[in-house]
Amino acid sequence: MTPTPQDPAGDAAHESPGGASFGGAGADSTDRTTGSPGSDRARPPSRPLTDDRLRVELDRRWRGRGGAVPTDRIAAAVHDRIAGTPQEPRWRLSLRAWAPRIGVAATAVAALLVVALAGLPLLTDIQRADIQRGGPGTHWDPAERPLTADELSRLFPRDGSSPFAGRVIIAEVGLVEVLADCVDLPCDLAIDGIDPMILVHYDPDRTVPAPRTGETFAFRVREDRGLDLVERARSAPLRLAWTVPGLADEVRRVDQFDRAVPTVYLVDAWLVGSPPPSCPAPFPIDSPAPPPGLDVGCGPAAWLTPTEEQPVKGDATSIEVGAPRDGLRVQNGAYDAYAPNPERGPYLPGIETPRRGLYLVRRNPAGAESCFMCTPLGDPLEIVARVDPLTIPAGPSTTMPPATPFTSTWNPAIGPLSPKELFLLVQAAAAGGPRGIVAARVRIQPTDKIGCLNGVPPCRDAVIVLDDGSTSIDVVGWGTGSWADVVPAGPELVALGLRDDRAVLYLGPVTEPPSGGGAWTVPQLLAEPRPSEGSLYLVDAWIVDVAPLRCRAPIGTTPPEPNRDVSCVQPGWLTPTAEQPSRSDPDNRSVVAPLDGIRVQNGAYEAFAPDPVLGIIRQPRHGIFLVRPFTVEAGQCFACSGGGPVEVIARVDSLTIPAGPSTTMHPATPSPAGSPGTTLGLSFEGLVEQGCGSEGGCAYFVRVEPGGGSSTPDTSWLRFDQTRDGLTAPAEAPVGVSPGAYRVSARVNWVSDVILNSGPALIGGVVASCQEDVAIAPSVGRIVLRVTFRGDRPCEIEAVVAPLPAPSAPPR
Amino acid sequence: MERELVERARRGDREAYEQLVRRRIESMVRTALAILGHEADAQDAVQEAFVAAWRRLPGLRDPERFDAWLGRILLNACRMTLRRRRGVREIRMVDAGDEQAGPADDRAGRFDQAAADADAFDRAFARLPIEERALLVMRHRDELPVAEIGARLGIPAGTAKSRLFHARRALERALAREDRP
Repeated sequence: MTPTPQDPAGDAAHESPGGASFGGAGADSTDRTTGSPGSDRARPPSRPLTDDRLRVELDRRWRGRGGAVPTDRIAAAVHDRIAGTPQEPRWRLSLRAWAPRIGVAATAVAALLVVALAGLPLLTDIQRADIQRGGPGTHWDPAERPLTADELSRLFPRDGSSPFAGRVIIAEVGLVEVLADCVDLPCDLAIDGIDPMILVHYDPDRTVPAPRTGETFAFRVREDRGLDLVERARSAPLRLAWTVPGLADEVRRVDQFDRAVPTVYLVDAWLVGSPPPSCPAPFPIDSPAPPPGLDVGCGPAAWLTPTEEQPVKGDATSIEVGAPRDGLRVQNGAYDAYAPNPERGPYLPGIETPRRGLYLVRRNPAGAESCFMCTPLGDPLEIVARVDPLTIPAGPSTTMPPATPFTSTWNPAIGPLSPKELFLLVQAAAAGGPRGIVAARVRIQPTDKIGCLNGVPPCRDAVIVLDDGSTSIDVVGWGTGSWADVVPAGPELVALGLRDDRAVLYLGPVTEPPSGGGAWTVPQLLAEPRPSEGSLYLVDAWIVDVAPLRCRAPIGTTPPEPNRDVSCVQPGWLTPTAEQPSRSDPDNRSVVAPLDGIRVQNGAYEAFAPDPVLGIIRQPRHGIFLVRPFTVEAGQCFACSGGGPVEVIARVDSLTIPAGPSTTMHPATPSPAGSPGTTLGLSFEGLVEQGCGSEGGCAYFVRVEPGGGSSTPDTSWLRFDQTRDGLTAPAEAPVGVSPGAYRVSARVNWVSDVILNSGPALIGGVVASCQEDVAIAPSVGRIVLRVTFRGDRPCEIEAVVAPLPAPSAPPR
Repeated sequence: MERELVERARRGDREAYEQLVRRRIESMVRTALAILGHEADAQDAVQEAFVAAWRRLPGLRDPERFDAWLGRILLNACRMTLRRRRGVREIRMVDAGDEQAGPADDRAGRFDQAAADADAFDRAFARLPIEERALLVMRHRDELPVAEIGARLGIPAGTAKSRLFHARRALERALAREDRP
């Protein structure tokens, strides 16, 4: 931190934008007009911050300069942008309920036989691909997400009973009615999109309310390839499991608005219990006892708490039970019924040891009236089940897998992605595949943001052009200013975020480790004499921290940004080994920091550690972390005795890279009437009625994707070759196509007339584009996809069918 | 009616979505303006928020919560706008006339107190993270109940309350800093 004439203490850079550190907190546009040198000059002190002043000032900001909001212009811009923006599909196979009729059934059986015979090689490939992906099994952590239909199907072997019988699971699936089985009774339900069918059993006295698709349900697994419906489950905002305070808030909200809808919640909590106190009869002798799940009267009480809190205190002669203030009361006896490994504490006979778990709960409004030792946090709940993690067996899936087989894995510790690998990951992310932070060695070409003025789409900042020049990846993330001042000129190692719109988010250049490979070690980074503040580093390390400390905030300083907070509250480090920092007293600041560790911001462990353990003992976790050094004032970094501080920006995980496009197109789902094994000829034609008006020329692209909401990317953008005779399809264009539904897109980009250092011409923004859904029926002949480009007006796509040549007459 | 529009938009009806957009542009822009303090940025953030919301609309589970959900998306858009801004630093050019003017104290006397207050407030407000700005705007400008603020930010009401307290404290400290000679 360097003192300046305007800031003798040198502390402005800690907070103000554009200082010596990386932006600092709150760098908004207001600073740009008022944060000038000399703005600290003396003036009368401003009025104190009363409620009234706060409201007046915020209202002034809210009104702006008093001008009208350009509603029409914004509405028009949104209109244009969503016109070319598809919604993210909630993809699931739709296996409709069916009511067989003999004639239809016979036809269907015949058609299925034909399809099965013709598609045998394809199905074999699909199964092989699936087995390749399956591996030894997938770990399911219920706290994070529900099971998918595909994972659910793997819980049931094709033969024999399920090894998971009796377990409670949560899955996001659709339920469909099986119409053939219900005449006078409620219809049976089955899981949508799974074959052979998995039946869902439920209480016949009640119906399962709509909606039944795309919802999260809790089930108990049966032995007979069936599930018992427990209830619809409501997930927490960021993951499946709720925290205790979050659940209390949610239940209060539900009480106000939609208490009629039965719902269960998964809560990540400690289950604590007390031994039965001596108490009078919990209810009058002549009234019936409440069911075990609803009994919250005087008895062996239990609570769900956010921490390992013990409600029982005392010594060998007497004990005292107190309801935990931040806990939620659950039914009596819940500890014995649901705690994992329930046990009595060693130091006081009969006292139960708190157990952490994922508990499925629902409201217990009946107990609210006569609740014994309830807590101020909320009304009592009923624990329905405990949901434990499980390993989903690998093996053939019974839902339809994507057509593209997965072939390789990128490990960030080994090295950066190539442009081609990056391209495949971008395509996969756009189709619902994994997103994340990656490091790649690419050349980024600024596009001067053509088409981006005044928010008019398409708005692209820069592109990464693949080596063969045929395809490109949009790069966004800088906003304003010139990319040319920011991005490296040549191929450089950069950090990028995979987005869902076929673009990547630019994070910045990454400093390469001195010994090659993909990531720095902690000792290497500690030995770096002056880690560059403006650069990013990938570090292969263990992340550790300690449970929150009770400490005094520094006096006279403004609060730091959350991601730059290195005060004493909750210190964390990156370390070369799985060492645990030691702490002598939780109530003071006696922490022994790892000397060979690098200090990271408070809370980094919780935010970035894989599978963090958030109890008193917090297990070190290993990963590859993207970090950025920053500076703080002397004395402001608590426990920085090793190195640092650095800001952890992301964890960089391994990713599976899908295979490249095949030269034959397959639809997302086989055409029901056609034969998916049949391949028809496919060719492309490009016609230019009018150019794009650029001095440097134009670049014409076409893309064909499987339609029907598929998440399967099949081809990338293909660039037409330009010859004196017009446009011709590139060599890598697919030459065959299977019957089915496809989406064809085309676009023309301008090309810069400035060529730097004899490099390739820079491709600019999109001038015009168009899109067409095409259905290809079986046995129609040869398909020609013809694209006509008309300057800055939308292009036009036609699918022309060239009839098959007539069979030649048999020789006489 | 609103619910029906949301349902239709969720099924891909662009016309229905545009109706929803039109009804909300003004309030969204003004909220973003209060948070960001810059008109063009606010309009950009709102535009980004509407496009992002369109893309993710099929994932919205409860149409009744559309506005709260949209508010969260707007907040993210504001955050992204601010993040992009961090790389940009515009420094006001000092006019020659300014340099030749008298001592700062003399000119301070000519300051309109309200304008000076507003200036100090804006600079102090700019030091707060986006979440804290949003909390203050929702509570003190829009006068939303704490429970609703929590719902919009996806945090429990108790957490919203304590963060609101901290945001207020942070703003007070930042203002005090502005008053330092």
